This record gives sequence, C-alpha cells and structure tokens, in this order.
Amino acid sequence: MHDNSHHPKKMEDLLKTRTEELAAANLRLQQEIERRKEAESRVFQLTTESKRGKQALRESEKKYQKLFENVVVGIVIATSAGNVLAMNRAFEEITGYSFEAFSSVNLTHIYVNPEDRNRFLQTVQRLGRVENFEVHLLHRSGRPYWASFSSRPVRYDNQDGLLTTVLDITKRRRAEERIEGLSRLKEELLGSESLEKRMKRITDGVVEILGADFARIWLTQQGDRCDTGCLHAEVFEGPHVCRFRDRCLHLISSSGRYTHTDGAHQRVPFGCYKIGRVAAAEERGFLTNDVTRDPRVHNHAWARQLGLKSFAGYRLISHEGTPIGVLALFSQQALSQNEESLLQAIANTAAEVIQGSRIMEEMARLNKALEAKNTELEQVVYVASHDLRSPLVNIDGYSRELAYDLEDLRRTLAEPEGKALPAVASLLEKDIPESLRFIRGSASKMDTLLSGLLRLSRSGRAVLTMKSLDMNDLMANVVDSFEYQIREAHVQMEVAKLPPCRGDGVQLNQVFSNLLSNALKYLDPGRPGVIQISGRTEGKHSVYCMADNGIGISENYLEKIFEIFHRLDPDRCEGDGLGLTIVKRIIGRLDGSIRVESEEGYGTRFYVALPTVPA
Amino acid sequence: MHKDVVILVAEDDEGHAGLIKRNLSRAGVVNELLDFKNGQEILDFLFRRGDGPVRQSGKAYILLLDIRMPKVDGIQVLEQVKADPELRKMPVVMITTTDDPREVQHCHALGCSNYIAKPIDYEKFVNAIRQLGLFLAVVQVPTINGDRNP
Repeated sequence: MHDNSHHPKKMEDLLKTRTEELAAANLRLQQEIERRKEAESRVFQLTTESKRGKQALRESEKKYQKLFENVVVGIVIATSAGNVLAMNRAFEEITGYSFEAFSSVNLTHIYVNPEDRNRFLQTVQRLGRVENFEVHLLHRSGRPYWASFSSRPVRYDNQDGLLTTVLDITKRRRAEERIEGLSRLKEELLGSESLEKRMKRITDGVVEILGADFARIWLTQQGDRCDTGCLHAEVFEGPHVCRFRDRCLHLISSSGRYTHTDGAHQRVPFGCYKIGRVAAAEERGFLTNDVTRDPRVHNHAWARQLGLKSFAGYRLISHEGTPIGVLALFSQQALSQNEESLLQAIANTAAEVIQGSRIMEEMARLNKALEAKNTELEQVVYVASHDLRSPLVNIDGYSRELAYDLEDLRRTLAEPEGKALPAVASLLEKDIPESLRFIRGSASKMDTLLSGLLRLSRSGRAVLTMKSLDMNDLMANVVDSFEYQIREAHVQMEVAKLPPCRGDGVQLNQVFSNLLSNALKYLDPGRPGVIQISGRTEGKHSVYCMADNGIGISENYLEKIFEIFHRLDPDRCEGDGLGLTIVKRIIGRLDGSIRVESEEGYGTRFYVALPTVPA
Repeated sequence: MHKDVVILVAEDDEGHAGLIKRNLSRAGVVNELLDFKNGQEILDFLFRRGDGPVRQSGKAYILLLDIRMPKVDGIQVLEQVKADPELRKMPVVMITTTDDPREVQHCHALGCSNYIAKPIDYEKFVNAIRQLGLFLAVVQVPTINGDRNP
C-alpha cells in the first residue's frame, strides 16, 4: 500500500547528505576561524610589539604587512567614530570597497538592513567584543552577501580602535537556506492539495530555492489534442512527428519567468523536442551549461536575449520504470554537480508525489464505484423484498380465505339441501377456484422472481474475457439468431458498418440480443417495423445505437426501465422485468454506459458506449 | 361513511385487490369500488384523461393506493393528487407491502391520510382492513367539484 508518507523518503536522504555536507562545511569554517584567530593573535602581537620601539617595528613591519595583506580573512581597523585606520586586500575583495571608498562611505549603506549596524555597535558597546556576528551586507556593486564579523578593541597608531575580521559566508548561508527551503517544501508536499498545486510548489521551489529562471513540469498522459488543437499535429515528417498518441506530455505547472500552462508547450509529443526526448530517455540526464550554443537547444537567440546559461531536464519515472513526466528548468547561472544532484532528488520527489496522487485518484474512483454498487445492491434488496412479499401476502391471504370457504361450506351443508345448493355452487365454482388460482399464481411468481435474482447474481459473477471485438461480426451473429422473428414480423433490419470496441464477446452478445429482442417485442403493429443499428467513435468510446420505430416509451417512465423487476406493461408482454437491468449491469462491468432516447408513438433509440480499442 | 362515496383501488396485484375487497365487504363496507391496475390509469381517471372512465364532479372519492406499481408509482400519484387544489381534499390511504420507515414518513409528509402496511400474516391483514373500514366510517369525505374543465 502506498501513501503520501513514502515520497519524502528521497527528500529525507537528500537532507541527510546535505546535512553531512553542511557539517563538513562547518568544520572547514571552524578551521578557517582557527586560522583567523591565529592571524589575529599575530596581529595583536605585532601591534603590541610596535609599542616596544620603532626599531623593532621597522623590522617586523615587512612581516606584518605581508601577513596582513595576504591573510584570506578580511580585516579592518576603525575607530568608534568610524575613521578607518587600516584594512587588508581580502576586506576590499569581500566588500568591494577600497580604503578611500570605505573611508568615505556612510557605513549604514553597507548593510542590507541598516538597523543591523546599530545592533552590531550595541553589542560591541555592551560586551567590548563580538564573535561571529552574522549579517546581510551589500557589496559596493549592490550585490547582497552574507558575512560574519568578529571584533575586539585594539590600540592602533596610538588610537583606540576596533579590529574586525570579516568572512564571506554567503555560500554556507545559501546551503542552509536551501536545506531550509527543501525541508519546507517537503512539509508542503505532504499536504492533501491537488496534484496541480503540489507540482506548482515543486516548480516554485526550483525557482526560489535553486534560483532557476523558470521551471516546468509535464505529465505523461493520453494525447487529447492529437486531431484538433495540438500544435504538433501539423508536423508530418522529421524528428517532431508525434509517434505515441497514448503518451503525450501535458504541461501541468510553470514557475518563474513563465507561469502559464497553455501556449505552445502545453502539449509536447513523447520523443520530440528536448522535453519529449528527456521523457523518452533519449537524452539521459540532459544538462547543458551552454544553452546559447548547445545544438540540442532550439532557439539560441531567445536564450541569449534572456541571458540564460543552463538547461536541465529530468525524467520522472514510476516505480515500475515507466516515464510519467518531465521536470525541466532554465537558469541564468551554470548548474553545479551539487545542484544537479539536488534537482535529480527533487525530480524523484515529484515522481513520488505524482504516483501517490494517482493512487489516491484510483482509490477515490474505486470508492465511488463501490458506492454505486452499494446503492444498486440496496435497491435490489429493497425491490426484491417488496416484490417477494407481494405473492406471500396472496399465498397466506388466499389460503386463509380457503379456510373461511371450508367453514362456510361446512355451515351451508348443515342446512337443508334446497337452500344449500346455490351457495355451495358459488363457493365451489367461484371463491375456491379463485383462491387456488391466486395461490398457485403467486407461487409461480415467486419462483420467477427468485430465478431472476439468481440470473442477475450470475450475470454479475461471470468471468470477463476482455479483448478487442469486431462488432460487425458480433452484431451479425446477434441478428442471425433473431432471423425467424425478423422474417415473421416483416421487419426491415439495417446494420451499418460498426467500429470495434473492447469488451467481452459473450456478454455483449447478450446485451445486444436483449436490446434487439426488446426492439422486436415493442414494434408498433400499425406500421412496418424498421430497426437500425449504427455506430461511431466518440473520443475514448465506441458508441452503438439501436433504433426502432416501435411504440416508444413515455418520457415519464424512461428512468424506470432499467430498474430491477420493473415492467411498464405487465399485461402486454411476457418478461421477468430483468432484461434491461442485466444489460445495464453488464455494460457497467465493461466500463461502458447505456442511455435511452424515446418518443412515445415514434420509436426508441438505445445508445451503448464501450471503450475503444487503443490504437 | 356515506354510501355514495366511491372507493378507488389503485393496485397492480390483482390478488391484493381481491383480498382488500373481500375484507372490506366483510367489514361491512358496501360502497361502489373501482379498480385501477397502475399509476397511470388512476391518474387518467382523476385528471380526466384518456379513453377510460373518468372522475365525475360532485362525487366523493377515497383512494386506496399501492406504492410499487408499473409506469407511475404510488408516490408520484400521491404527489400529483396533493399538488392539485381540488383533488388534494380527497383522502388517500396508502396500502403497501413497504414498511420502510423512510417511505412511510415520505408519504405522510406528502399528505396521505393513512398508511397501512400489508402484513404477510393474514390475521393482521384482516385486522388492518377492518381498521381501514373503521377509518372509512369516521372519515369526512368531501365531494370534489373542480369543474374547471367541464
């Protein structure tokens, strides 16, 4: 049994590896900090040494300068008033500010949130020093980045200053944010939202968490616009000819630059274009960091214009290995191997969500079918109990009546002969035979009903052999078996060429025999009978029509004709009131449907829709 | 009950109709009695349609109605009778094998005057019809005019 708790498994694995990676990154950072502390202590040492005398200073100055300049940690020394006393090259690289630029900039401008500067200064004031103060800064170019400050007071050039080391921690922050984003996405995907909404969350995630320009998901489904409206229907040769009409890629979600799910890419034929080739596994893990030149990308000018750099497409596959869709994205940045494995994991998650959702859909469908079956069963039990009770009332009633009659007979016979005879005659010739007639009639009625119920139960249990059927052959057999009745009644029988369908031959023979038998039974004796059988394909169904010019059925009774044991005109014709009930039941089991149109006095048309044979 | 009141029996089971008649007569009900074999026939009579006998104005009727009948069922007949401003005054007694409480409630909601379940046990059946005889004896049956279409 599958459920939704399954699909985040892959995400879980991913999170685990990402957490391990983060731990490794932290370790590296720790080492970095150690190195920085060492460098700091040397700086302090050197500054202390500088007090000892200019001679010593001069000697160490070269050493000091070299160290100060070459350490990879950004270092700046400034007074509390904001006068910059010194800074190194790493600091300039991280912040983008030269000594002169940094000296003249309003320091609130280097913060994304200016109040962070106050927070920093307050901490310095309160504790005298700051450790690993993480802050969102603005590079001189305007690009935001994350930095970590550590500061402590220092005496420099005879002034009280603050020595601050700066580390660029943007990469670490981004990795953390990604993990947070992915965890959040995982939580969101657990909800009971529609498949469309959850696919949208995934493409949104690819754009927001991984910074894609736009991301899309297509699902593999039956082609629905192959003949009308599919842009690819016009392509008759070359690599873009649609080869699988039952496997078409339907755009279900789009995030980022494009959010529409209609337009040119709403249907992509399986195996055509890069999306279709990814789906067909003709492109394995299709990734290019060179979309403006890669020959597999269709429109280089477009990619150049939008500043796109990379494309990645991932095949979504089921547990059984069948393709169920594609996740694809364009990005303005090159995709790293790390990001690629992240995307693959997201694609796997998407596949899990789709499968989970399809299982839920299937369950809902089965539930609905079960509910319908229950309603039908309830109706059968309700009607059967009523209909079986009716003859019982008669049997009990008329046998008691017989008892009364015997009582009367006994009493009458005790009277003088002349008086008794007419009364006895009435009892013997009228009352008693009538009672007997009702008792025997009711017993045989019960027998008919019980055999009918058995027949109905058997029709629901028959093993179905589903295969594609040549309906021309099947219908010819049905018509042949009624040849005698058709000839006797002088009926004009017309059978058009019929499309094939998928079903059980024996059961469908019974269905159409029943319908034809009804059509013959209810012809209007006042005019020559005409029965026409025709068929056509409507989407996924072959629809067969049996039309007669018989007496027709009043609109008021149309919905009742399929009801169990319901007989519109019990006096007119023989029958157990089960024919159409069984017909409807068989068609239901074959995933088809039946409906009726009729006009009283003109005729009746039964339409039977059955699944088409897949091309 | 006034003996001019006509009893209409809409019942598709001839046997049931026979039992009802025998027991009504045993209970002393001697009124004129008309049989209808399905819902359509009784509607045609009441609404004066078709070629068969039709309702006469100025006469009083009481309707004994089965529920499960071919073509139009008893519930539909009851609905149509109760929807007609004239016919709605006519007492309607449901006599049926169905004792499903939902069905009983539905008929009462639609405005039937009485509901008798046909029991299989004949003693009870006889008793039920005797009750019906008593009911018919006390019920006020108005004459129906409704001569909008004379």
